[in-house]
Amino acid sequence: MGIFEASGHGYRRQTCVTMLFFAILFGFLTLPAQAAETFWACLIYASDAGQGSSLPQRLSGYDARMSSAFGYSRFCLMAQRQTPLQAQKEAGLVFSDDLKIVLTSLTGASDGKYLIKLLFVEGEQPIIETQARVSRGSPLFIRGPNWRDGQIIIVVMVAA
Amino acid sequence: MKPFEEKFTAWLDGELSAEEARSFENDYPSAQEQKAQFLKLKRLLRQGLESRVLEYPDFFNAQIMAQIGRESFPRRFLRRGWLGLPRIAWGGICVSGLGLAMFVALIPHGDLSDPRSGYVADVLKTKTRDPNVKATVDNKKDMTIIKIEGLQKLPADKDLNR
Repeated sequence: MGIFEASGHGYRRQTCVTMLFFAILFGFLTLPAQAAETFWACLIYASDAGQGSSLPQRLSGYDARMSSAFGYSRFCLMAQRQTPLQAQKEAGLVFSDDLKIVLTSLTGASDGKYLIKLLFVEGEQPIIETQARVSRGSPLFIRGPNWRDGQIIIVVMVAA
Repeated sequence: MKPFEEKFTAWLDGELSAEEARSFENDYPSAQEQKAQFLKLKRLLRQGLESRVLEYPDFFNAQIMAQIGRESFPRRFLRRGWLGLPRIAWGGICVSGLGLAMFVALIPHGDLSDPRSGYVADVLKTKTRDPNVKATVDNKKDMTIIKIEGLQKLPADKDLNR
C-alpha cells in the first residue's frame, strides 16, 4: 500500500512539474512579442535629380506617399541611427556632427501606444520641441532644411 | 510411429496395451526407475497440497477483498484522487484558456500583411525655440509630417553621410 501512495505523490509531482515546464515554455515563446524597443531615426535627401530611391527597410512602401507629400521623386538614405530605449533616460541620435534628434521622454500608454517628446537640435541651437502619440513602427516625418537641390527629411520611429 | 515422449507419457499413465508396454520396457530398461521417481513425487505432491478447510471462509474472503480494494491504486486514484481524470481534463482546458488569453493580450493585433495598417503618429504639440522658424503639422491618415520653415539652407559641401 505504501508503494501505491508513494506512486500517487510521484504522479502529482510529475504532473505539477510538467505544467510548470509548459508555463515556462509558454513564457519564453511570448518573449519575442515583448521585445525591447529602440529609438530609430534616419536622414533622407529628397530631390528630383537622378533616378531611383533608396529608402531604408523600415520605410519600405512609403516612397509613393512621400513623393506625393513632399513633392520630390527621389529619396536617398543618407544615414540612419538607432539606440535602445531605457526608462527615464534620454536617447539622442546625432547625424553629421551637428544635427541631433533627442527623445527626451517616452511614456507607454495603456492602449499600447507611446507618448514621446522630441527635440530637434541643429548645432547647439534647439529648433523645435514636439510632443506626439505614436505606435511602435509608425514613422514620424520632419521636413527639415534645404540642401543642394532638394531637402532633408528626418524620420523618427519607436521600433522593435 | 509415436515419438518417445508420447509413448513414455502413455506408459506412465498406463494407457499402453500390454504388448506395447512390454515392448517399451524392453526398449527402455531405465524407464522403470523413472516411473518409481514419478510415483514418489506424485504422492508427495498430493500430501503437500491437500486442501484445508477454513474456519471462517466469509471473513477471510471479506479481508482479501478489502485488501484488494485498498491496493487497487490506479482506479481509486483516477476516480477520487486530487488529480483525477476529470480534474486533469479541466486543468487542461483552463491552461489552454489561459494560454489563449495571454496570446490575445500579448501579441500585437492588426493586419500584418500591411505594415501601415496600425499607423499612429499624432502630433499633440509643437513648439519652436527660434522665432524665425515656424513649424506646421500635416496629419494624414497614415503619414504625419512636421514641416519646418525658416531654417537656413545647409551648406552644399556638408557631409550628411556621417
